[in-house]
Amino acid sequence: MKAVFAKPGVQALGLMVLSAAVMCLPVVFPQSENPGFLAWYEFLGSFHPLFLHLPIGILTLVVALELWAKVRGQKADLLFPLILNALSALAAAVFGFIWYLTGSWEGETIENHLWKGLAFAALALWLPWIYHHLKVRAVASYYIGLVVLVGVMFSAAHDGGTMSHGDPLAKAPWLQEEEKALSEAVLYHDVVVPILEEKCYTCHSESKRKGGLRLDSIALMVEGGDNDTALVPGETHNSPLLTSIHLPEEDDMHMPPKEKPQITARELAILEHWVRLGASDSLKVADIPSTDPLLAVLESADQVEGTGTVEAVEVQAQDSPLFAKVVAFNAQFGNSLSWMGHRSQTLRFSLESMRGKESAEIYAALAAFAGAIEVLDLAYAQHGARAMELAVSCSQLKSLDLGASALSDTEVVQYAAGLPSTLEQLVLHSTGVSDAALPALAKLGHLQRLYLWNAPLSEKAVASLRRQLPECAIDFPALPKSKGSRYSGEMKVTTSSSYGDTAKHLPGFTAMEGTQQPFTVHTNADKGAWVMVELQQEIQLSHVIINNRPELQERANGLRLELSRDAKSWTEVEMPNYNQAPKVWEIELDHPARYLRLKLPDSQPQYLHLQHISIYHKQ
Amino acid sequence: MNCTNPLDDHRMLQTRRHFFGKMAKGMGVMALGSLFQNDALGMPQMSQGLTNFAPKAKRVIYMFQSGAPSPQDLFDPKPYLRKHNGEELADHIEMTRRVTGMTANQSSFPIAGSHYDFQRYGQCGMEISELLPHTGSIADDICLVRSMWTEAINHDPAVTFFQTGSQIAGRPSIGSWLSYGLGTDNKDLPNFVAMVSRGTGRPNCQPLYDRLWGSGFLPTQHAGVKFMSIGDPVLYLKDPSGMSKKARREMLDRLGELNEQKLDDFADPEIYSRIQAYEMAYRMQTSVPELSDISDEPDHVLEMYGPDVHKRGSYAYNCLMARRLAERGVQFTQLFHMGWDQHFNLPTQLPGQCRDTDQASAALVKDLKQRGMLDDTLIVWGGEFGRTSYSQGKMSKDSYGRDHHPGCFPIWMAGAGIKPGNVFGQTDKLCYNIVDQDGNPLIPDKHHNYTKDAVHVHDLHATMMHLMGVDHERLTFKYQGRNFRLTDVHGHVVKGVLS
Repeated sequence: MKAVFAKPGVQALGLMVLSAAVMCLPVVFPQSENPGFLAWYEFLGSFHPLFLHLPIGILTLVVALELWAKVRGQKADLLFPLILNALSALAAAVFGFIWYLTGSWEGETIENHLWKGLAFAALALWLPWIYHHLKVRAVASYYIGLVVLVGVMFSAAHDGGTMSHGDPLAKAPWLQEEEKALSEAVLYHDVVVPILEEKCYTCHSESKRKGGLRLDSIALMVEGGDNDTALVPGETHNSPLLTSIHLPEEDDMHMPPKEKPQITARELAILEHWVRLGASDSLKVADIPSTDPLLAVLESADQVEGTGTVEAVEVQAQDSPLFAKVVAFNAQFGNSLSWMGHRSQTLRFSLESMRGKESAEIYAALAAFAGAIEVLDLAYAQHGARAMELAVSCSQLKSLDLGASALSDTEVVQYAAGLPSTLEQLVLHSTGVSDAALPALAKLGHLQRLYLWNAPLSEKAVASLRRQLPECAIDFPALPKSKGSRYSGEMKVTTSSSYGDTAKHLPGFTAMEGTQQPFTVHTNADKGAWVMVELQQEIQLSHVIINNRPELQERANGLRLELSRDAKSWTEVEMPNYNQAPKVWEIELDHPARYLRLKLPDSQPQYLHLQHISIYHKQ
Repeated sequence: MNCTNPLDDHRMLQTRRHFFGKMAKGMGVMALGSLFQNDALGMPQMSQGLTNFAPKAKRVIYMFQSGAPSPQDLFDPKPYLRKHNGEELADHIEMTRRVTGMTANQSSFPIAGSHYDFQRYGQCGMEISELLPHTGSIADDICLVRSMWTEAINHDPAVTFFQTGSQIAGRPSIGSWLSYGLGTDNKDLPNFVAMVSRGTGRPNCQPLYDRLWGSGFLPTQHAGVKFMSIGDPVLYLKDPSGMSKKARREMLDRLGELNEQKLDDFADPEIYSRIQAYEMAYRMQTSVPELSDISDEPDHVLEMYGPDVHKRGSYAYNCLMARRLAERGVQFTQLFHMGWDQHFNLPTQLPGQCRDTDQASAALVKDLKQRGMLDDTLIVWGGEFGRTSYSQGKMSKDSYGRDHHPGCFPIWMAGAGIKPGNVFGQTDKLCYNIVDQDGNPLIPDKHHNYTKDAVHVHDLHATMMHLMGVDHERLTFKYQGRNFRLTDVHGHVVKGVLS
């Protein structure tokens, strides 16, 4: 048996099969969208970095020993290191291939690396055989093989290194452009890209596209990855590029991953300002308005980098130039101004603890914070014009609540056009805003949510507004039809008979408020059982709502309602569902009455029990 | 506070004075979510970075259904129980769970199928009982969690657990924790308000103790204030007859000066709390009558809440109050509705309980929504545990009852940051265990076996705090030598319920 394997031909056959198998791996097991043994792939794949360095070291040693032997004129026995090289190369290739199957690597570089790596393993398998069997007869074939192998190895290793550590050649000093003066710099190319290059490109660029996402051009950021876009120009809160950095480090979605170098607060501030300013690729630093906060961030960046030791300062509410002013304001106006969050420099103002009685001076005091206010809760405000004036001056305003405030069409028409384009939510419920103000609101194309409930608007005008603001969710639920006012005067209730301690039998059936004692309607099984309600005075009835006893509702079949002004002459009212008593009767009326009587048919004995009777009248 | 070393004592006073000095000036640090924490030397210091996320919710309204509403009859349809009505539960599943002393000696555990039909509501097609049609009408706004579980099996420990994160009384309640972590003072109303209403389903039920909204070891100004259902909403709020407003103010000013002197001498935080309490009471003398005068509510709003809204102390009235409190910036409002404990005669009791609560609970959600307030208000509705699928006591054609079952039960949430129209988690066909999506039983264990589908009380607390912008692991208070948290050493934010 042993003799068979010693034959060079048999060995060659075996090697042929093995190397062909290695090269066929990607054909037989193609990379799939949803790999089945992902956990195993990830586990085994992680052995790739362990093995890949072995053949590099061993092969370098082999070359070094060959050269050393040449210089010394000696011969070196290198069969063992070559076999070791072949085995470690095979292991590195197989584990590498398994890693590739996890799908976390995408792009041209990985394909190159894959094929070069497999080719390296296949060739490495042959080299010991060539060394052992051909060295005597065809020594050149060994040296050629060695040189080719070293070449393939460096090429494959370069691809691999680029993917995990970045291209070392790119950092060569002779390739670096001279640093531009800040004023000439283009924001994207000279400030933003270097940040992304350092912290993001290793996983999200051409060579490696984790989650299918590339960040190496603005178009690709907007296109996004497998799930979602990464960038919405102008919208910092909707750009996962930024929001994923904000997540707590423990969060699975936090970027960069916990173990990788993190984005500093300064870098984040730069990215945020860049997105806020529209994520332009051509905006020059010199063209940014001199009041823009980004300039301060950029300058501080230079300074901090210059010293090289100072840790970047996190964006904190405490650092805001407004912080002391907010404290002073709150001391005067009851903590009505609060920061949106600990790491936020924008503010929320709320009138909630002084609703309906705010002083005019609070508006003057708030003017100092207008630029930083993001949420303005002015529900129940008494000064409509001042409230709108304030809202118009808040350049970062996102949400404005004027619900139930003293706002009228005049103010809306006058100020709506001036509302900042950042405004997403506008609450105008229970205000005097009517159809006349809607054309002014129709111009607010940036609105996402508009609340108009309980405002004197027509369905038609709101429908037209919906057409003009297709992106905006307009909340305008129909008001229930007025039932009139609820009768709350005295009531005297009498029944044909009473079924003992009814409160005990029917807990919760305290039917008649207005009576001296909570009264429950439950008669004996009388023929023509009835209940009569006597009101304090005659009223114009508009609505009567009767709640039946739910679990025995059929007992009220045939119930009829009669009305009277003097308890002598009775008028019968048409009851809906006369023969099949429902759970609730809602009876619409327009009838003067002082007495109401509910009566079951005379034909057979039956209990009358009702849960509740509500009476409404016109005033 | 028993310092043997006078040097330590002095140092503590210095730092505490510093603390109160800041507080008295109304410094906005509390609003920032910054906290005072003690370091190793017992020195209070400001902790930084408590929240690194902007809060989704500005306020919470928790509608606590005390007594434990029956899952099988209200939120978790189980046709299998109906099909096998009356059969022995032990023939269908190995009854490994603990049972209460009330049914432990029962010779038989007959399966009790619900007498009530379920309907699909909303575009999401959420299945809810016919007893809760109004809740059905807001199905697209709520997230129904069917996989809550708790460790307690009796009412008081279970309610205490929900309120404080511990079955044993004495810890601060969740409203107090949030007031401590985020609260601002100088308002006309307390940060944390509790209101209690009695159910009609079972009028003679377990009492609720005031400690359930207590502040435990946190400073007392964070305790919930109970609004009474009869008499003055807040006890002793009215000036005694003969005392003028001016005299009252002067009395409070002099008393305040005396208290400040004592505070300077002893630096006991409770003196500070007491000064605050007097001031709050004074402000409430005007704010509370204004709050409880509902004559400014239009009829169509009152009608939404149902006829009971006119009855002071009813659940519907309390729901309307909750909305009015939310509009006035109260951070945590908690309603307790009693009477959900249907051990016997469930079919005669449960419909009454549902009538008490269904319309008003739904009206509160709708009312907040139409005012644009649902986006930043977190609503929670639920009881303290579930109920058994077997009948307690004799079962008849018309009647059955259910005992306590902590292993699985539903709650619903709505509003700020909650994924609407969503059902989270599921139970097995017998409503005995929580199961995963493939129907395999989960035996969650807060110590060793966290499972994403099951929601423990600590997980609910962690999620609620998360929505308020608080990391539940970082909001701590040092007491008796150790740092305490609402969630003890447990709790995971339930991402599946978040939008």
